[in-house]
Amino acid sequence: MRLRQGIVAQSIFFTAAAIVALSTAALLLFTGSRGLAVFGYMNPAEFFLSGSWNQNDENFGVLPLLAGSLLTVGLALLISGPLALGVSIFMVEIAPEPVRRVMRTVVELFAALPSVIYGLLGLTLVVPWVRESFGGGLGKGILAASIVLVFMTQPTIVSIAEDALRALPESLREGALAVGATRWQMIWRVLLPAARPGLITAVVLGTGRAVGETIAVQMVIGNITSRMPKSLLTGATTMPAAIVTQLPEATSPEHRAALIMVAFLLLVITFSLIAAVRAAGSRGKARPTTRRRPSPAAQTAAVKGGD
Amino acid sequence: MNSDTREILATKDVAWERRIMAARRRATLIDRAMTGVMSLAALFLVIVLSGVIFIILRAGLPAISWTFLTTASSITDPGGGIGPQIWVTMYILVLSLAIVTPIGVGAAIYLSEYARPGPITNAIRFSTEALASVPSVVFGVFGAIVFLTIMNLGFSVLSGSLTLALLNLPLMVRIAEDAIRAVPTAYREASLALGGSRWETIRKAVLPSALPGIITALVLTGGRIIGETAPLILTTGTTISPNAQYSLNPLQTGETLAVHIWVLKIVGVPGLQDAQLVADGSAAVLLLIVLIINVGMAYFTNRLTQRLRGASGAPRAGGSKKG
Amino acid sequence: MDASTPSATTMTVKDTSLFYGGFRAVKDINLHFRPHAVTAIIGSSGCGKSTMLRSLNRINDRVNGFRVEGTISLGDQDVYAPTTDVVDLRRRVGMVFQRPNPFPMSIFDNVAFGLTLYAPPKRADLEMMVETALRASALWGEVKDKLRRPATELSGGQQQRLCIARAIATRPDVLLMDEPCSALDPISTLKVEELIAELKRSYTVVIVTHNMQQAARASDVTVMMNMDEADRAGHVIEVGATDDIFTNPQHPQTEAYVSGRFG
Repeated sequence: MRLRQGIVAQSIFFTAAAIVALSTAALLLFTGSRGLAVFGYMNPAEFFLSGSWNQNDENFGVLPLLAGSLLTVGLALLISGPLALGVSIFMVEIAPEPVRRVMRTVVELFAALPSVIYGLLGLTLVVPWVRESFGGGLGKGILAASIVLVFMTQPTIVSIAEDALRALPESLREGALAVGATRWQMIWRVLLPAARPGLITAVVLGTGRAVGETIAVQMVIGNITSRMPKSLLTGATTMPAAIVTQLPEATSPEHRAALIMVAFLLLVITFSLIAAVRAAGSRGKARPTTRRRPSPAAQTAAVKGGD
Repeated sequence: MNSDTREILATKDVAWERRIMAARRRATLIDRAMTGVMSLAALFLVIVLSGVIFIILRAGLPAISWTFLTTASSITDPGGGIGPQIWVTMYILVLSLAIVTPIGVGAAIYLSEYARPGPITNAIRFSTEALASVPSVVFGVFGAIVFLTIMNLGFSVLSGSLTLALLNLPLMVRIAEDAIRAVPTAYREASLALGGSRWETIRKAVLPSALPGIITALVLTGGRIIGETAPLILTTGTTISPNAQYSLNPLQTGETLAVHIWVLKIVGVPGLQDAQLVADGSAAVLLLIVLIINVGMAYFTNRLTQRLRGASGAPRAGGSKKG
Repeated sequence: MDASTPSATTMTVKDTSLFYGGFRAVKDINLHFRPHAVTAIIGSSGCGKSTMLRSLNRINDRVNGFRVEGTISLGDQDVYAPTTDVVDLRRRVGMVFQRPNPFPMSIFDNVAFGLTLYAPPKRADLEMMVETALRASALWGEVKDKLRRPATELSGGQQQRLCIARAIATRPDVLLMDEPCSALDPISTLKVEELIAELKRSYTVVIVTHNMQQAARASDVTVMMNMDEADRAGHVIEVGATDDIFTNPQHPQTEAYVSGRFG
């Protein structure tokens, strides 16, 4: 009787775990098969190389979406990477413990803010600022979206970079200071190179976060899919923004398939980022590090996917 | 060591020392400047966050009233509120948590208590990690394919809840697994030594001690569900039928608070005069919920870790012979 | 090379107590570290000898709540004076730690690290200085063909000698060693000990050690510290020429300790 109960319990738990694994497979399978169906309507060259995405003439070239995503994310990381690195250095090497705890809460709150609130603020603060500072147009575009993404990627990058720096042994710091390095020389010449794998992971996962961000970007980018982005200040789109804007209204099977294909591409991109991080991680495992268990809220900060 | 080497090491090059002292001053300046830059970066984030909270609350708090929270907005007379949106938000919150909790905790128990290293465990772990990285809009697309089309549930509260359950599965598994793993081995051993089976040990010794951690997982997941937008636009829809407000029917379309803000600002509701005010009020409500959850959580975990630290610190201090 | 001056300098500790918060870890220390001599600090664990050593180059400033009362001076400079440039102090007082802590960079860059922080010398000069330091730490023969390899590939004993090379490359006035052999095998230990005996010709050397034979073999002066049972603070029991301390200890605790009866 007891034995039976144990077996039943174990199989229930295994089923739960299996559901997680199967969900991932199903996600790939369904978006993949439904997305690849787009090549029943057009050849891959048209899809991947055409510079226009226009549902009116049933022409779905993914380039404007890809270019928009690339520019938005690239620009955002250019600012957000150094900013987050500075913040994590401050938290690990400079701030006294109480200040560090405050910063941790601040970073967690950045992660907790819903995307739609970032979008709302982008709309009421960033877009008018871009319009007035750079002149012309509506202010909606890649620049506005990048600025919003700078803040949305902070929690991911900061929390992972902070962990990477904190995991460095104290003996490295003492070693550098003992030969007469200033604190900044210690950070710049010893700690940052030593923490490089972790810092790269932080930026890569921040990239994943930015690539997938949907609503906040959709609210400030202008959602122009029909042409390649013309400048950082005029309307453009990104892959997730195009999906959420068009999928609810897409009626033709061709249009739907094209949008699902974009989702599949997003999936492939984020999986590749994870795989890259994993590969780098297993190479860098030789060095023993003492890892602190991050708080649950910090984990949300690190893993929260784009909305 | 020959005498030359010894000679070199024992002496100082005076000219070089002078140049070093000059460079030292420059390095000190750089050190101070960079310390300033790093501190400013941190200060910048603090200012932005405070500014964000201040702006949202200043715009939104005046709109919030009991009527605002409990009635529907209407096209004909301004002053309406977000009652139905709050209803749908809570409905989806409860439904998603009801789906994700048993599966997530079950998977966490399997991974921490049963799983042996091997290809199957690896596959499950990799899936969890991969699933955590998937952008939420892709979950929305998946939900639109599987729940809306294949299962024919249409735009509905149920489709949305299922999608969000899936989306939050990896986070739930991870936090719950950490909570279970944090339970001291001694508890397990004590139960097993008393003749408890593995299942009894889990049920009577492990789960009760892991409960605070599992509740943490629930609350954090809940916070994310409340703030989610993109996947819901694709699965639940963006409207609440006027004759199905406060409906319990899971097959109704719905619109959560977060989606409502998006609709008001981006899609627009034709004829609604005080859309700006409703949007601001909704944002303030959303922000308050998120703040309460996170600040409360931080307080809770701080107290928990302090308690744990206190418990494990006492015997160490007493048993130590070292000065 | 133009004008040069000898570098070894005296370090003096006067009426000094060291605190962690409210706890006095070390009390009433009066010591004098002579140039061109090795001073060994011995004593049972917990007697504060490491704390003592780590206060000499202010590396212990990093520990929260650490505080110094009394006067520690390097030559005629007060180490803990508010005007003291701590970075410059650490340039002049080098340190080798208990566990080898090479930086995750090449062997060459590890030794060159301290030399390139300020006014980096010309490449040829730098190479010569690195070679000198590696020769002095008896590592040159083993690494001269792999200077570009990561330092972490070296064995533990080699890593520790590399750290010694890193510390002496900048030609400090004083060299502090905190149980430098505790993580090493006997053969590496012997090599490092021979090295210490050589290094004293150029520097003021202070070494903390657990190992009685090591103190007896490698030092000229021995400081015996112990913990006062009453207030748990470490203090100096006896100071003397190493030969005297080991053959004719004045204090019963020293005798008990050097003869291995406790510790």
